[in-house]
Amino acid sequence: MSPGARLFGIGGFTAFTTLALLSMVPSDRYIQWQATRTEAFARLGWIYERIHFDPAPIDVAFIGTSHTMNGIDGEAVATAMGGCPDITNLSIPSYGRNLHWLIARELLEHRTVGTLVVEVVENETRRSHPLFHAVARWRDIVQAPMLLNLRYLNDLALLPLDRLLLGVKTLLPAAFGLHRRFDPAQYDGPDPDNTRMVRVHNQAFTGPRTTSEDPAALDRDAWEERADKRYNMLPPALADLEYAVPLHYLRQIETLAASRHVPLVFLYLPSYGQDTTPHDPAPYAGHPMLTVSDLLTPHAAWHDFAHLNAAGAAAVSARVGHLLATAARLADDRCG
Amino acid sequence: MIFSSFEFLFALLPLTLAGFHLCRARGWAVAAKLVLVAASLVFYAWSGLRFLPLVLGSVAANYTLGAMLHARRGLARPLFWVGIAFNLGLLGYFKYAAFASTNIAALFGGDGFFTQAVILPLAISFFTFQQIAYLTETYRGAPPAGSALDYALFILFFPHLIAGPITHHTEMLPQFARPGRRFDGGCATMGASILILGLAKKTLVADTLATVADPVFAAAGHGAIGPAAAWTGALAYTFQLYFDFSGYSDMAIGLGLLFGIRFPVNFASPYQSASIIEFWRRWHITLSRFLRAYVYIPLGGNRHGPLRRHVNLMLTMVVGGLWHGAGWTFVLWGALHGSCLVVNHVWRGTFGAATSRAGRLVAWLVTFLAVVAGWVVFRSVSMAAAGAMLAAMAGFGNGASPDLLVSTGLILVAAGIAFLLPDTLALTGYAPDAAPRPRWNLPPGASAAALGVIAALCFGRLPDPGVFLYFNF
Repeated sequence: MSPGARLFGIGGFTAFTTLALLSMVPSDRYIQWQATRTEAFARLGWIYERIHFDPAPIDVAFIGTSHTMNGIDGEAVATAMGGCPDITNLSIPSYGRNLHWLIARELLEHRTVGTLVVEVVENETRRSHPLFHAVARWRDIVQAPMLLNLRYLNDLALLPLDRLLLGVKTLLPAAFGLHRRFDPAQYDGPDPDNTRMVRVHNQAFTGPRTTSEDPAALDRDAWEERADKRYNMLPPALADLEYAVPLHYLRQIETLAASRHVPLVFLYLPSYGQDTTPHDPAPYAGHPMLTVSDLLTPHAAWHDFAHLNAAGAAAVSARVGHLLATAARLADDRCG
Repeated sequence: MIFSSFEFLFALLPLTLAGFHLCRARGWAVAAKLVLVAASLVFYAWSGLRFLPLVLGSVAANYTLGAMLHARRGLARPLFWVGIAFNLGLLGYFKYAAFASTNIAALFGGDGFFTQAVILPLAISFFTFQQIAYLTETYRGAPPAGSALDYALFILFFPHLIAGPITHHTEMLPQFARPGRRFDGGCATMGASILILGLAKKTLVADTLATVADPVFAAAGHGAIGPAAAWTGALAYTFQLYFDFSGYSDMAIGLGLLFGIRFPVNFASPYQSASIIEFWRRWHITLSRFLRAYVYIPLGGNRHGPLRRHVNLMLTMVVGGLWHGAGWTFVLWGALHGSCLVVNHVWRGTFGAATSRAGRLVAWLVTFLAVVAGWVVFRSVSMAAAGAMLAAMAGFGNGASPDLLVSTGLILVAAGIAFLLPDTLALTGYAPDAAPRPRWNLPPGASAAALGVIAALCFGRLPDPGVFLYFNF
């Protein structure tokens, strides 16, 4: 072997070993969930706190994107359901079923949950959540399905430095504005309202959500969305591959909920002006699907094309509460 | 496409290396060059095909003009000025027309003569300056490029295409004309080392410092900035810009070496300078070289007495500022450096250069502070924001103090590297005019292992590649 080739070999081996060792740097899970402090993603820290440190029961848990984060008011759901159930909204902005899986797993492995409500939009997103790598364990990243996971290599590449930084943050949490011990004084409560404004530890991440978007702009955005929508980019023979990643995680959620005897309910909450049912209902078969299409039609309910405003959220939440209560009574009747 | 991305490092680069060296080893020189040109066009057009016709048209036009300048000496003067007008016209249209229009409208009223939105083509400042130099030298009698392929490669070669170094055809065309057949292991080893170190400067240092600097300058845009934050942001940006741009230049040099091509040095530890004169011999050396040869000297240089010399210095630096961007902050930055150069020359003429240790330390500190102040102007989004930052640095600001522990730590690490360590090229023993023979400061195996560790750390930053700051120019 030439000297140059030997040196390249040493360099390559060292690089690979370094990456592997860095990926195993230990860190604190609470620190990991708190570490993302940008935009409304800062709610991740609160999600961990709600699950692990708040003893208040969780009768109904919502998991979804910003559609659900801004569209479901837990208090309104509880009022409509009657009987003072404890509602908690564990939704996080951006699309990506893999993050929903991480949240659902954290929840179901550590808490008793009455009902799990998972958001559904017009079609499953092919995308991996941009923050999956931030809260996943290293096994979640390495063992993630590769086809067709466009962020697999990205998430894998981020793993070593993520772990190194988390290790540093675990050792010096205060330097990064984090804390290893739960502080009730900084806790936002069992179900903070995200429908009027998203605030985390008194820091506002959105403006007031009390206004309505211009109707013409809403209609235009809806038309553009429908015109640009491509439900299948691959040939029919590869259709199963196209949505393999989100469906993998949906099945994981379904399996875990079933193993914990937690009823799984889907909530269809699309953007404005979209279809009244999911494009492909097959993945959700076997579980109730809550739809509130009539409440999503008025322009006045929308803060922007993808998100309800406070008034729209109040109406939707009340309806969802009634639907959940009805489903629960039906279940009781069946059981009775 | 950028160097610090997966698609470049793991797709385009290995494919191009394989294609180029295979063709070269078989003696297919033309094919080897075509591989490089094709790869360069893919590199340039990766983010959009929109400006590909422009750069190809510019290359074709300048090559043709150069050939005509050589063949038709009787028409050399008009052809030369047509070429200059063509290049400056392109640059003027895409980069300066809107700025000029806005300012004329502000002075005289109206909507201005240029109201359409124009997107700046990638790398236009760089390839325009290179071709102006080529036409100028050809006009002066230097031989033109031996072939259109060699000329295209000189302008388009991807390591330097987007953000320099600004190469001179006399140092590049001979290398492209004779690519050789033998694979040089020393070139490859040194090239890989410099590439990794440059990548580390960009992804590990510059991009991290950006997280400190960006929020501060954004806040200054709203006027709410305190002294601690202002100094933190100014120093963070000072080092961010150095590591970003010198890191890019290092990567360009490293990549060039992987293909057996030697680029000129662009940075030589500029923040160790003890005077502004010295700073401009160490910072963006190829730009300084261009400005001296094609702006300062044609203006008369120092041949017409000290007053004219100082005017020429000032004008040259203002042109240098404008080259960076169409904005008054860039003009002011250039003027500040012009003023500092004038003061430096006058001081040196009166008192001489500092020779004592204490004197050089004071000179270094004054120089560094002047450079920092200049970068504040350079980076600010407006003159008002620059004023707010500088006022805050002088103690007149109000605003929340940032979390200083992490920021200060980052700045100190960057400062330590910039002030105390030799730069990448000195560390590896690179010299553009000598055969690359790596100089290992540690045993070769240990150096390779150290570079492996650094490469691993850089790998983790590839999914979120930050933009190279000089792409904006």
